[in-house]
Amino acid sequence: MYIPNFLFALALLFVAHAETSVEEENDENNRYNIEGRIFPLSDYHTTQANWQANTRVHVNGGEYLGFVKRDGSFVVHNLPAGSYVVEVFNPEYTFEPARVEINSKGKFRARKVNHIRTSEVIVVPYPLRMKALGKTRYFQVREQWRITDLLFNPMVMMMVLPLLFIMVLPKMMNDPDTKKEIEQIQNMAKFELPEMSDMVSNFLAGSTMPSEKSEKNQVSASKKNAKTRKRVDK
Amino acid sequence: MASFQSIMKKYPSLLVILLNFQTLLALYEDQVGKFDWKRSFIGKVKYAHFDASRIIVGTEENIIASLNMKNGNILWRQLMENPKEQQLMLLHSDRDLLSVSGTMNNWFVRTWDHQTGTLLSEWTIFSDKNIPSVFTVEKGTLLHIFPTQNSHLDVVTYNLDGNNQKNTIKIPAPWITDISNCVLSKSYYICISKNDISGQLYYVNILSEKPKVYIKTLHSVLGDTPDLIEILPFEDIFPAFLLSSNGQAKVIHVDEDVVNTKIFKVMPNAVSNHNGEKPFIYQLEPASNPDKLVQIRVKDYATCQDEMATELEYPVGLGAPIIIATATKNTLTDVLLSTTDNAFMLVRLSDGKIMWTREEALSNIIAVEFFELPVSELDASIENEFKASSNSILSMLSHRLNTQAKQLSTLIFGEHPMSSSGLVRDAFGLHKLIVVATSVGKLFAIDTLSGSIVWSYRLPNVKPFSILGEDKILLFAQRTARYAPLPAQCILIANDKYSGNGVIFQFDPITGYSQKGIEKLNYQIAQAIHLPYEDDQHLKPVLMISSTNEVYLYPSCAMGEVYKYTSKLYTYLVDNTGSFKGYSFIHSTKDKLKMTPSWELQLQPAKLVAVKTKHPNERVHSQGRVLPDRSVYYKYVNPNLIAVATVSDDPVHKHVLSVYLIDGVTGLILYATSHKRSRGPIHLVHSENWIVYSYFNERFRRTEFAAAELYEGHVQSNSSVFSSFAVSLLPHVQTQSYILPATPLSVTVTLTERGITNKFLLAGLSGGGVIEIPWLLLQPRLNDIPCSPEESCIPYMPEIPLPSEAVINYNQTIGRIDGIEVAPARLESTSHILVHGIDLFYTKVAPSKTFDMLKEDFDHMMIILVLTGLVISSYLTKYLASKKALKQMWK
Amino acid sequence: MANKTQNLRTKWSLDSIRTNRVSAEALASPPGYSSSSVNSNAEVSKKTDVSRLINKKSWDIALAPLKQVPMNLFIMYMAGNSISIFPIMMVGMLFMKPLQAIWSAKTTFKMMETSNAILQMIVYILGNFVNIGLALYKCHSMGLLPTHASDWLAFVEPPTRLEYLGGGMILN
Repeated sequence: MYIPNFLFALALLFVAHAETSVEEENDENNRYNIEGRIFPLSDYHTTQANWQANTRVHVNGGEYLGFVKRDGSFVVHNLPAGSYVVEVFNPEYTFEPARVEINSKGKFRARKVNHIRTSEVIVVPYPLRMKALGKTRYFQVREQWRITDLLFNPMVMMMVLPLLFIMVLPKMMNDPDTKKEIEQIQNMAKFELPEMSDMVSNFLAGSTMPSEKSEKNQVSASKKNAKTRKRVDK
Repeated sequence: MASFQSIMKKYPSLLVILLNFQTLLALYEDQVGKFDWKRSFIGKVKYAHFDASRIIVGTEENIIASLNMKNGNILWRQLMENPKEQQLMLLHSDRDLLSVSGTMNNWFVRTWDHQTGTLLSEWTIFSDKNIPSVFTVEKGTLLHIFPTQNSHLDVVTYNLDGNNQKNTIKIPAPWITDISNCVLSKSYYICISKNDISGQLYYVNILSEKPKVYIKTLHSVLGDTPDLIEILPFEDIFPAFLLSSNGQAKVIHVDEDVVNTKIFKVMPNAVSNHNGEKPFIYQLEPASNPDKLVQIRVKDYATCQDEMATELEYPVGLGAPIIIATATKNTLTDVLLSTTDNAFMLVRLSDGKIMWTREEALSNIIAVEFFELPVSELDASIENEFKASSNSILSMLSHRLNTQAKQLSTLIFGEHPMSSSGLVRDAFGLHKLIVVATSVGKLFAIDTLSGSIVWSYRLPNVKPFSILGEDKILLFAQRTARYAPLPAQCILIANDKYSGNGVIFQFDPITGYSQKGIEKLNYQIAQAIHLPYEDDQHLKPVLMISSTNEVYLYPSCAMGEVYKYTSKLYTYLVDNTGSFKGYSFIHSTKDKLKMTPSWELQLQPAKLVAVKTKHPNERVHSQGRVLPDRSVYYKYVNPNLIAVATVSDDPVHKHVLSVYLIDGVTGLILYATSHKRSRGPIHLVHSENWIVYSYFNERFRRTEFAAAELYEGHVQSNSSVFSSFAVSLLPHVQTQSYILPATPLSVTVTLTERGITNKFLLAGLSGGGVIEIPWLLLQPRLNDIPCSPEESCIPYMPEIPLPSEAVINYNQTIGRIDGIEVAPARLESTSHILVHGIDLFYTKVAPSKTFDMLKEDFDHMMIILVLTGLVISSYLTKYLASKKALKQMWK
Repeated sequence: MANKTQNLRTKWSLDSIRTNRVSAEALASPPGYSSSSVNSNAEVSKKTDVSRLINKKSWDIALAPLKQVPMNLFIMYMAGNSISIFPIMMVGMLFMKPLQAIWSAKTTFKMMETSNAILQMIVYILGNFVNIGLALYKCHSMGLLPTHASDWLAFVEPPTRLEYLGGGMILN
């Protein structure tokens, strides 16, 4: 019992001092005040200079009203004991509501609003600290049409790329220079492998090297002749 | 009942679908302002102060606002508590703006900043006395005065400089007989004991150290006058008041013992103005020139010489004005006038010109009707072609040629000025006229495209009906503008202010012209029924039932037509105690309609909260709901159903809400349910074959929605006709309830012409936004049918999600939403919505997105480009291919 | 130029295709072979062969649709019951082919040149009807046939009301 009252008194120090409402807790009527402070997003001051006047605090759906002072604090006066939902409305920003329960002895407890599990208690500091959850999004973003949507569509890729291949490859084939290159590559490929196998076998069987070498020379010579002959023909 | 968490765990993908469902139906940012508009109002002005280039006003709607002096626009506005509970008692402008508002025992004293409207401080005043009190501010102290009749004056003073120190003074005053004979001026409380010359004048200075009561005889003050004397307040720098008799008043100053009567006579509505070079008195009087209605006479205060009389360009049709405040700057004087029909205007006195007018009657709308506009002349001429009366070919040919020539000429030479007057129907019938009736008895017609007022009509001495605590006026559209040259006709039914009898006003909604004016009836109206049968003039007659159960028909010449249908006509009347009486018209004769009682029902003693029937123009398109096994679960659509909600007090359950569905023709109760520990406010929506109602559950302290849907079964009992007498089985009812995480102020359902589009419920919330909730979310799920997106069924969610994209008025919050009106547009996908409260907001809603219209960002250019590109490339490739083939043949 | 190439060709190539006309009198006919009898036999067998062939052919054509049935069944089974482009294409094809076949049945059988192909035509048409039946069954299993009440729901007119009700709360 003492602790919440202590906290309550401590909270008064942080709230703006022009409030005289504290002394108005009339014990005969048992009326209490809900206090809190609104923390805007940091870009408030640039976009809306007058957000305090546009922000409204509704308790229990408008049964009791609170207005926001210049430093962001608000007080809702004249509440009897009971359970209240405190909502803060601002056209640009969304705030999360809080439930404040005042029992008959004047103890305040603030917790998160959960309409489904109403007995769940997630305590929220009192005096209320309402932080803006973010800028309210009222609009849907229009779908932009980008060229990548068309190009990266799998159906398109499946159809267009093979088409390109089919169209481009024969052209490549017909071009004589590329033909030559491809033939060279093929020849190179052909040459490589036997040379390798020859080298290995030569390496393993040392003595028969000269005759094989001569044979190889003969083979390469004949192949060279064939190449020159081909060039002459062309 | 499965818990929320378990449901969420089961369908994570469906949750995503659900949350996206409503986002898909939101607005785009570039659609803002294209087809919606908002008008802000403040209410009837009670107090006004001039402040630099601003006017600070306090109104009867418990609102304080700051208006721009040049054009009357609202700079800032603060809505305080509900005016039905708390009223603005004082607005004082000094260093800060001070407002006192409250009820009998409880007041809020708030100080505001002049420029921004931010609250500077707030404190409360309590009192246990149950008598009306007066407030004033004098010399930095707030005086709160309780005049107790025949006894004493209780004065509580509050020191406004910081500490709000409270001080109580009690002044014995047995001379206070009637509070209406007392005024408060500066710190003096002045009363007259009797209203004639034999009475006496009593006054006391409350703030003096030893308050002494001074008594003077009225005879010594006024001299000899045989008429009744009235005491009126007078704003002045000295304590002063007016004593008026026989339409003329005298200004009287009091200063301790001295009573100083000014010699001159002024009008009872005079005000004084001390901020010019010389003090002046301004008063309103009827203009000497019959063309102008009102003139302001300026009198020198000291000498009472007439300085000048300026005639005002007072618009015809406004009510009588009173002066609220005046201010003089250099040589220009501005006068603020408020009229009996809640209009507020600023007059510049040098030339009598009215700078701007605010029609504040629109802050309290009680009846709305949408009207279609007539077709343009060009379209009418096209339609006339088909209505040619003569059958000879030659005349038809000449008629046709004529109209074609006319159309050609308008096409070439531009529009004829007449047809571009603006009030013609557009292509989709989206340009409509909204006729609005307000509680002061003023009619307005508002254009839906621009939101401007087309015409207004003031009905003097007209009072609305009061139903279930709310004001109501009946507006019926008897004939639309479709039947040119017959003009459209609308009828307004209300009460006379003084006699309490009914009043009928018939007018043309497009022009506002009324042929017969206000017709007073000699009976009290109990109910009025708008019949759906047209007579030969395409006019739908209105049946009026008087409080003595006599039936009258308007227009009475339609009797012959109505007599044909008297066997099919039934009516019901409900009174406040919950007693329902049904009547039929079988015993009517050809000349006179007669009502015979047919059934009677008395509900349990409870407070009747809502009685709702379906909208008369509603059409139900699909007759059943398709189940997954491809059978049809037929709906029970009873057009004669009445949904009734009552709240009763119970010792155990505190409040019990009972909802009944009663057939209005037979009196059979088809469905009844009750919710324990539930209290109002109840909002009931009744449409097609379902009802949805919202209530506050006291046990869990949350607002809940309950939906009930009626079904016939798998076999349709009679597919061609529906008769309330042919009920063989009671309908099956499926119910479900949901939690709404907000407080609704008003709930309605969208309406379309053919009933094919989905339905949305529009709920106006206390935060000022109007949110759309799809009916598919609220439809009771059938137990034996699995719910999945393939069945177009959204799985049950106990808490209705309210995403911010579903707010149809984005960031234009509407203060104190009173009602939402819906009208079908000629396009099947759209409905017109008008939200009224303190502000007015209009928009169009398309619950299934505009499926019958091309979307706005339809890429015409893209399609044209692609098509031309493809055509060109195909021709190109054909050419290239032929060239290649030719080349090949040469090889 | 052409002559030159032709000359070159005759010079260098061996054209085995060119036939030298071998007269029929040069070679003697084999023993036991009489040309006249062959002709008469051929005529008889030609007639019978031809009519039998035509008959056979016409029966082949007539039974072709029925032979398609198992393949259609398999295609239907593979196509699946969902509503997407491939099954719809398949069903469309299954429908269209027999229909087109029925329309052109007369022209198909005209080829036969015999007037008595009525039985075959009937069998052919019946076979196509069986195929159409298969397609209909496929439609039915996909749920496309309007057999249930819910398919006609959009055409159901709302019932006219016999009684009209007006009224409400007493206004004063």
